[in-house]
Amino acid sequence: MSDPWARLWSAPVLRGLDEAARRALAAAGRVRSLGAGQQVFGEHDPADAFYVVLEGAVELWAQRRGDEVHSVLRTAGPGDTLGEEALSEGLSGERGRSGRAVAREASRVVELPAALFLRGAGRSGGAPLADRELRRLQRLSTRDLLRTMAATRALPEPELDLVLDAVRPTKVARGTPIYAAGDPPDGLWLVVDGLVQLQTEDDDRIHVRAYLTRGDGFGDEEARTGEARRCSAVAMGETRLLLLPAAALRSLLDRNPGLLDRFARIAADRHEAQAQAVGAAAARSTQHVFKDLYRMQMARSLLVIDQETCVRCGHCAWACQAIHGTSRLVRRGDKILTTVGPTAAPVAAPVTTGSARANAALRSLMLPNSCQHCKNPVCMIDCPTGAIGRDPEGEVFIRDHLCTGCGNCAKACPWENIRMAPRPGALSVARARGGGGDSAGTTTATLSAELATKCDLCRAYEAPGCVQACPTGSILRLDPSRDVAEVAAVLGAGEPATAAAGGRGQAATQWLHGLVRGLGIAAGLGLGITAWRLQHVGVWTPGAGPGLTAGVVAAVGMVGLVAYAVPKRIVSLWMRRRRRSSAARRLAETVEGVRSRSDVAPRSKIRPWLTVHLVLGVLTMAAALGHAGLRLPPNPAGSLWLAFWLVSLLGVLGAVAYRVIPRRLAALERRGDLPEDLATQRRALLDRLFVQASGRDELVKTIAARVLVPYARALHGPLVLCLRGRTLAQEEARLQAQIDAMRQGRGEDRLGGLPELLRTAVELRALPARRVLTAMLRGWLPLHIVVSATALALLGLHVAVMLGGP
Amino acid sequence: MSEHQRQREGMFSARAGALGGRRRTAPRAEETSDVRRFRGVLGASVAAALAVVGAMVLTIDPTTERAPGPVSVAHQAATTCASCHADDGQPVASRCVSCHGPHPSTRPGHRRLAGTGALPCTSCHAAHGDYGGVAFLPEGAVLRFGAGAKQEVPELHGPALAELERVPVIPAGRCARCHDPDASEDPIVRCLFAEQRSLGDARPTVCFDEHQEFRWDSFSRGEGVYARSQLWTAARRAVTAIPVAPQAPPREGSAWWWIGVAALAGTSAWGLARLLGWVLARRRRGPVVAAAVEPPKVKRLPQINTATCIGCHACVDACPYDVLEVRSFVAVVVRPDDCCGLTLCEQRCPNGSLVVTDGEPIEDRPRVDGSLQSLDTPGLYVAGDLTGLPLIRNAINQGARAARAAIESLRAEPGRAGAGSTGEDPSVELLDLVVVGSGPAGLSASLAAAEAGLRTVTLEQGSVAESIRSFPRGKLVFDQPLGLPLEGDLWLAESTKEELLGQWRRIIRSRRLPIEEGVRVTAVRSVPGGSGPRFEVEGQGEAGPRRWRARRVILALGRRGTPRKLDVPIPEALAARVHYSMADARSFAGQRVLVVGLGDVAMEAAIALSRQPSTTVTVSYRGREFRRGKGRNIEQVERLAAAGRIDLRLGTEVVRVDEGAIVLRGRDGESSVPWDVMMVMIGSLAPWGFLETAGVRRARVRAPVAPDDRPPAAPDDRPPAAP
Repeated sequence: MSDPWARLWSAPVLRGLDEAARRALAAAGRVRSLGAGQQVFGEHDPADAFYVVLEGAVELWAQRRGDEVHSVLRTAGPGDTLGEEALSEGLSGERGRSGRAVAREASRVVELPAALFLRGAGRSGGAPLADRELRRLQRLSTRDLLRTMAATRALPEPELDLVLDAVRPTKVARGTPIYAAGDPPDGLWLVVDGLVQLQTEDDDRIHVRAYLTRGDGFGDEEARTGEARRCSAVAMGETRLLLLPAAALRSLLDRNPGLLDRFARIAADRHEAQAQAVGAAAARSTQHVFKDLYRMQMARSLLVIDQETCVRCGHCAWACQAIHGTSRLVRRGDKILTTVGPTAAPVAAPVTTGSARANAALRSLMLPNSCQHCKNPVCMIDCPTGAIGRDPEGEVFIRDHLCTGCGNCAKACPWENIRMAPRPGALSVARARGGGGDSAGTTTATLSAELATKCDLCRAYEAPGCVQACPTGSILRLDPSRDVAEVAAVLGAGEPATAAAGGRGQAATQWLHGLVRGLGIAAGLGLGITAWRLQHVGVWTPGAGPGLTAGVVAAVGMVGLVAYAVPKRIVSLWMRRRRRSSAARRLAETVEGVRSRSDVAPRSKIRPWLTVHLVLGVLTMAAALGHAGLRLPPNPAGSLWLAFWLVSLLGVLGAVAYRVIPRRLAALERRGDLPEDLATQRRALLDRLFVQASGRDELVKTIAARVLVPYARALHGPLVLCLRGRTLAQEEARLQAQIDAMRQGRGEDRLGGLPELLRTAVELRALPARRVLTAMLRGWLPLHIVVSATALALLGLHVAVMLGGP
Repeated sequence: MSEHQRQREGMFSARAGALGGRRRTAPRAEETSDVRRFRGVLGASVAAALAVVGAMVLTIDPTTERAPGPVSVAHQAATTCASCHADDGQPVASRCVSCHGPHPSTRPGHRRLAGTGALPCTSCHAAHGDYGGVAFLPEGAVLRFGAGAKQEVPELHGPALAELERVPVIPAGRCARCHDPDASEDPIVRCLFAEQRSLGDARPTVCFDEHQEFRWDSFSRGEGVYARSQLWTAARRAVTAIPVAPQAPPREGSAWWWIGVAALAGTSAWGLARLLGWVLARRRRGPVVAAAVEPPKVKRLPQINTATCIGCHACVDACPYDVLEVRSFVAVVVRPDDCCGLTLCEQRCPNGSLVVTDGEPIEDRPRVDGSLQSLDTPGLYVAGDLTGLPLIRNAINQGARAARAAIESLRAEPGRAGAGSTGEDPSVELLDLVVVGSGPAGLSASLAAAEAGLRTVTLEQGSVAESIRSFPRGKLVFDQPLGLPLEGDLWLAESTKEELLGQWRRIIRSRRLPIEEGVRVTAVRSVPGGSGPRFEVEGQGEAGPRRWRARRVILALGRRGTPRKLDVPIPEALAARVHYSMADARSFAGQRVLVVGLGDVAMEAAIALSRQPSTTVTVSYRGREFRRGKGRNIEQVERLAAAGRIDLRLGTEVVRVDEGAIVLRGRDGESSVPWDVMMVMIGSLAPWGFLETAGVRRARVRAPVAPDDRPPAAPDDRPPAAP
């Protein structure tokens, strides 16, 4: 054993380890020599190891709450540890390391994997030793944490010790209240990790007062004065907190009277910034991103579909199914209205309106059921067999051969992004095991019949299939805390984005697509009209000269048009497998800043083909006009003529629908739904209407019966809604104004519950419109396909007849 | 916005919706319409293509298809393709002469060109696609004709002729190769009409003497040149009146016909593919496994192998009564009293670490057979909570099961249609089935009976689904869909109480279920006679005593009707202040409430009450700790107790109820609680008195249970456990 290791074992935390544990640690750990200014670990790095300083001095830098810049928290000398947060679940948090460690002078440190240390300590000293060491290290990391927190950052060291003695760590599940308004005050809460929402409730509405994230504290005021809680605190996600009991807080304040002033100032600043960000967004829309801010905070790669360009074809889900056997993407979910930040890849914008509004405008984004690759995945923590893993790049995935099908992860995921599916046949099980390698003992018989499935970003391939398969390029993967402006503003963690890589390129592609399509359509129209005139006056005849050439061109065009089905339906053509590289190498590449897979914004592979299809379609129509004109010949060639123009008509209708309807539809929907969901929604909405009306004031009931129900029932209503071009919110406002005009100012105080009823009534009216629009978007394509096949067959027959002998 | 309002509203407001946290059931992969959308479309495409090709191959003659157009009617009758297009190297134009004879042009220019072969017949006359002309009938009528169509020129009479005379009309476009129809010096202008210039190449030309010399003898009457010029004038008039030759409407029907064949084939193939997919999916899903509806005869408890348990929560989530919990990564039985004995947990365990074992026999359960028929009184069925399995889904299943058994035994009964026999009162109609109670079990039975067309009535002492109505407002009705399939038509899903009631009411309305509310059944008696069991049901309605006669009776009373009461005497004057259920906590707002009991019902009531403004809630419970109830409720009560919202008094008993205060006795002496309302929620009793008079006997404790006495568990589809 080399010298540094021998010295290492004398470090306080490592003294109790036995020989076996030391061997294991020595095998897995590594000694790193650092020059002055070199970094041991960086902020937000995954925290899975801790460090012991052998020689030299290493400074721990972190951003204290309320500061703009980083400052030194402490300096670790020989024998001291660094990065202990890796040892305590939760302190590492969803954002990885909370600070960075930099060598002040030439130093040597040993990196020790946290998991191995815990196991080793547990084995050598039993639970008591492991517990003791763990407590000590956790105390160290908690101390570091307290040094950065708004409430405790200014405390002198001895006071910090007292606080450390007093605080109680707590873990709170999503949606659970930490305290409710009216509760007696229990103390000052410090947020270690997660998201807490302060809110007041009245009746069925909640009013959000503040969002609190790591480093914030709350509940100090009541704890100091002893009043009952004025508002409720709810954990929006799995949240870890430290509670400083009221008594301890009061004595602390007695000794440090000015302590809370600075804290209050920091909190007020943050609150002001939040209120501004939220207020600006809330004023524009009711579908804001704050509905489930925790989701935004957690997501690392959130799948969003731009509802204003999405043509509801479902090709994303189909492609997913083609790749994975069961679709891991269900195109259903909440909708948010937000600005995708300037650093984000611009959302596909409608072509002709130009790219000017692409970035500035609010986009309706749907968050479908698809894994968002949380920064701190609750599914992974809950998996009893460790079947869920995470790539260094952050992709969370399930190892099929380890999955017992218990469904724990599927139940734990708050967004239903994990689903249980029947395990594919024995063949694929064997293959999965071959890939896994270490489970030779398992036999097919012991594998469960069911399997948890979720999106793994197609990690076997170069880019996710859904994104590549989208014909309109409407699917994006975002990191909301970076790419969604509002989220970045509220969470206050909007560090400058590193990867704006795909952005400009994608905008250029966008523009190119528009140009090609526009030119193609213009050329097709011009050529078509000319050819038709020439054909009409008899200069071009189908059987000879240019007319025949036009026919041949049209035939080739038709074959080309049908060939669009090939890239569209055969996913394996363009799904390129990823070059396999070991996890370690990928990690190294990530650390060294090599452009990893996730930095390159994946692009749609189908979109260019759709553009080609579109342009080719227009040109083929022009050629067909030149060949056969507009008169239907009364023979088999006439059937071809008929089939061709039927296909073309359907195609043109489809293109127009794709261009016009999505935006209209996006304005009429409150969440993304599948067509089959819409079919059952009417009854649910009616139920909701009656439940909302029950128990309300007589005035509200009268309004509901006289205005809202007739409004929702009106036969022409959906049509009017379709044509007027109003959004749901505008429609609500209009209806509200109508009711206000009827009331003439009476009964202002008896209108409780009316806004909810209004919402439901408007949704009821919008529902048939949504169904019709969706049907229009989706109905034409199967017909288009079947008639295309007929036309192709007829074309073959036509060519055979014309070429055939006498 | 006023400052006050701003203060109240915070940064933004939203509707309070529970954040989706951990669920108890795992969502299943869905095959959405996105994925299924194009199923069968490929098949339909292929079918349509094949069909249209097949239809065409069968119906068309390829040689006619290559023709530039249909030949004129006269040619159709007299010629075949080969008469003009014979494969002997002769030009097509030369064939015309064989029938029409050589009649070269009278114009020297044309004749010269014809001689060189540059101007064959076909350069002016088309065999395919008739340009038509003007026909003069002997009786004087003038017809303008075209391909397959003719039209009489109105108000025009031709010269009197001996026989039919035709004047061909050539469109100017045919001449445009040599002539310029628009030039004034070109000789062709004599054949054209200036006013028809706009027709362009379609302008008719009447080149009257193109092929014919003057022939006096062709006119039997009239005066030669004059008659001839009359003909010429008439022809010119005819083309002036009708410039473009009439055309027979094209046979467009045929083009549509073939497309129609394709459409038909495509649609049927698509339909077939969809049907096939549906059938296959059904078969893959397998038959619906029968639910374990038979009440357990013995106390059963899960046993957990702690060495293999992986702590995955599958059993915990499957249990409807929160009997299990995971502690230190291993599942443990924490509330054995609540175990229902179904094997839901065992079925969900991924590695066979949990087995449900049999224990003590259960007393206090009705003696029934597998179809829930009373062993002591045939024809009498018991369903729902009475059988000892308080679970909505189970009650629905049992109701449907009992009704189906009753229907079957009725069908087997001879002479069902006949009237009753001796000793029966003919003034009261004999019904097939009387269902007593309209809770989940009663409704489910009633639905099944109505479906089978039985003459039936359902009697309810309160109103429909009273048990569900008595749930607290907005209570989530939990449902564990994984373990138990749902039998019967009654709707059940995880929903709020109100949603559930709404759905049920809708079902009752739409099926017109015969339910009589407000009828309290006082006795059910088995009466002799008839070819099968006969019953007399007596009840007390609002209008007075009522009586029914029935062949079968299903007792679905539930236990709610007879709540367990306190042993302490309650003064008559205070009885109105004592409640045994609570539907809406809002009506008790502002009062001092004492809740007795700590089961789920009591806890839910206490939680709801504690949310009301200025309401004091005291909970008294005999036990020293939480013994039963859902984990969520316990957690919440503990939290509320810690927050001072609920005054939780464990280990206390009510000893006296006075006007001003209720006296509780605990370990450390007596204490009195001031009260306005008391909720006694200490469970309920089976109405044994009523049941026994009806003929349902209690199961007695027997010798150790034989192994085969174990009720049939739901089929075990788990893979075998690892050794």
